[in-house]
Amino acid sequence: MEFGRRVVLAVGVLVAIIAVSFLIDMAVGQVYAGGSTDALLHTATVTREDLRHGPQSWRPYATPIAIGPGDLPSGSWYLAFAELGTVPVGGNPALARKGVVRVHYRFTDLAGTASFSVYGLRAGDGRTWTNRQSGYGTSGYYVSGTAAAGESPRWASLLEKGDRYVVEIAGSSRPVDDDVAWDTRTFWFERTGSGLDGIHITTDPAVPKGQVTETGDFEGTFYVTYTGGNVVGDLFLMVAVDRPQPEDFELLLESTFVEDDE
Amino acid sequence: MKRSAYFSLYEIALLSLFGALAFVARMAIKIPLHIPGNSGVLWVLPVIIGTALVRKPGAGTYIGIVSGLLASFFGLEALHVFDIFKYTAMGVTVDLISMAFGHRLDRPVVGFIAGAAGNLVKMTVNYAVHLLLGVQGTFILIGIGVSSVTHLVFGGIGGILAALIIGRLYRAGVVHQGDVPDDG
Repeated sequence: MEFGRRVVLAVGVLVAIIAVSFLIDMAVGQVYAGGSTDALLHTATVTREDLRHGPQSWRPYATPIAIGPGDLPSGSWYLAFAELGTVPVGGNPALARKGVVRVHYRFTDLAGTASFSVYGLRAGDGRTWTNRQSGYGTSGYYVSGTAAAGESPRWASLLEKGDRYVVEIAGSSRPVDDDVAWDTRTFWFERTGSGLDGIHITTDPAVPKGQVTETGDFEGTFYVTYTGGNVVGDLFLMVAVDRPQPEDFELLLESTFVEDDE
Repeated sequence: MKRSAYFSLYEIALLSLFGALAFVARMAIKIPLHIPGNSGVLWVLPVIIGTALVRKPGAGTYIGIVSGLLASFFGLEALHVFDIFKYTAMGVTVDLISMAFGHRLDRPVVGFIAGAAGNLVKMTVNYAVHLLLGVQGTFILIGIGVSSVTHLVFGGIGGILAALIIGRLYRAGVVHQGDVPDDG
């Protein structure tokens, strides 16, 4: 076959691949737009055994920051980290389907106060963002419970201060054998002052920078937003409780991606 | 009778260097465009140039395997050890295109086809590995249309650049077509 024909044939194959890609995109887009988003729902359950870290007054960042409302670390909190299974998307709307992560929570037998914070890991290198704890742009979500406190979790251990934190992840692949290690992830904070203004907690997606919410509702919804231009690779929710939890303590989490224009 | 090796020592050294260069280009240089496939403009260069210089079937595959092994064990991408599949697939594709066009990777149109096809195959293998690992298809396949176009464009640009570099190397006499030393 002469050279020109080979070129035409090769270009034809490339065009066909592009066409097939657009057909797949259209088909998937119709399913996504017209169908239920239940298939995209990620669920996680946090029990008292998942409170792997603490008691401590601070949560991971380049320098330890407060968990409870306010600027300064205080109190004794037990921490659990759950993966949300999806990520918020920011950046240029012409290049990406921007959206937020909707998180629906339901507590059973919550003692004391629960504090939600989010940690987003940058795709590629694991640099971590978290919601700002003090100053302009602070966001957070706190739930007050009424149950009686339980026994201190003997398995909980303090996190080591630094710029890298290895945290144990709560989740469905729960080890049944003590010899089986828990899943862990590393949060890395590049420097103090960086990584606090990208990711936020809000009750209204129209207010992407978020706000601080304190509630007594054991069931509710909030959103995780991202206002930076990078790509969030993984998203984790930290739930901290300021008292040891009773045996029946449980937190159900349902998370899903919600496109901005929905 | 001693059987001669398919690749000479010189060629193996050359291909390994280009494999390492593909890995370094992928890892060390980040273009902040945030467009899918934009890295293809850089990392197809070593694959295509190495394949063009050695001019033997399997040269691209060798570069792909070397860069894939490096990316699997020393890379920072999400797929970790599974990265070897996409790097190898890209090398195989460049090999096939090179053979189909008589190893004329110094021609910009062939360079475009090799770069675009390599980057598209890399994208396809990437999606396939994600699906095999259990990521929900609806979630990752949304946007595959635009993504395939950007992979084609960036891979194609990288391929054209590679062809121009190869052409200059030929014309400058740094390497000669079909005249790469094959004695180890």
